Amino acid sequence: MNRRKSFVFSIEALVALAAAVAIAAYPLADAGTFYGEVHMAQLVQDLLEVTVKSPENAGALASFASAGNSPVLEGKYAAMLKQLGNYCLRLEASGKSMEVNCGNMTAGGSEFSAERIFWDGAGFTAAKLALSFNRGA
Amino acid sequence: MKKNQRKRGVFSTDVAIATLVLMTIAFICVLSLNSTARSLAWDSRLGLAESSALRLADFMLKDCGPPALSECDAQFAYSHVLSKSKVNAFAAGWAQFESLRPGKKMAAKILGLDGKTIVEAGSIGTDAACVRRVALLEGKEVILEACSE
Repeated sequence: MNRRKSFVFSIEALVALAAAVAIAAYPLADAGTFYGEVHMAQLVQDLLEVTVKSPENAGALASFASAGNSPVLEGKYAAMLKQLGNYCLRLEASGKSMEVNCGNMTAGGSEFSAERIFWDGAGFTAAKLALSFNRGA
Repeated sequence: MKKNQRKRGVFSTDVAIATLVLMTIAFICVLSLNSTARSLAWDSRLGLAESSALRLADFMLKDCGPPALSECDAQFAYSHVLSKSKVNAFAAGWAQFESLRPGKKMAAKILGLDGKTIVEAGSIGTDAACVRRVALLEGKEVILEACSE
């Protein structure tokens, strides 16, 4: 009876210790990448920079702000995202919004956004661009 | 006499089981520590490579001195606007840049939006960390890729 009791106790201790070791080891082993969010924040700024610094893109942005759509800008963003990764891009200006590569988007991911004020030919307008990782597409 | 012998036998079994449990626990701990240490070492290496690649790409987009590629007026850099002459001389100047950083393997290239390489410099292994940034070259969007090991 005593033998049985001590044996059962040893198994319990073993299981508890194994679980403790596994729990202690898991977060360290799952550190993952470190600079993914820094890179996304940089990409948002990059996309806005190339939008406002290129005369062609700035013109397309101005027409988007007034008309609410710009196939030129949408096509360029889609081509850039194809090279950059599976990101969902949202552009807002003058109450208009555009989404690129946001199909099958799952909620809950980090979103990074940035703003620029640009001259649309008649006055200054703010453009906001948001980028998030599209896990669903 | 028989009773005493039986008692010793029970004691030995207990010790044997305890030793076995102790060895199993020690084995699990060593195995876990070993894999955690390996994982941490790999993460640390990857983190350093990522950090280097990010800094290289940022420098190339926003600075004037080699291997930076941005258009400059005196020492004022037009960030995200690449200079055509610097891009043309990029590959030739890369060896000089690498010689200043011995033991550090880096590479960079510029791609068009169609994915075709416009210019590239340096060679790097398959386990390198790479980052991609967007810039303008002669008014057109290009992708700048910087890698580090």
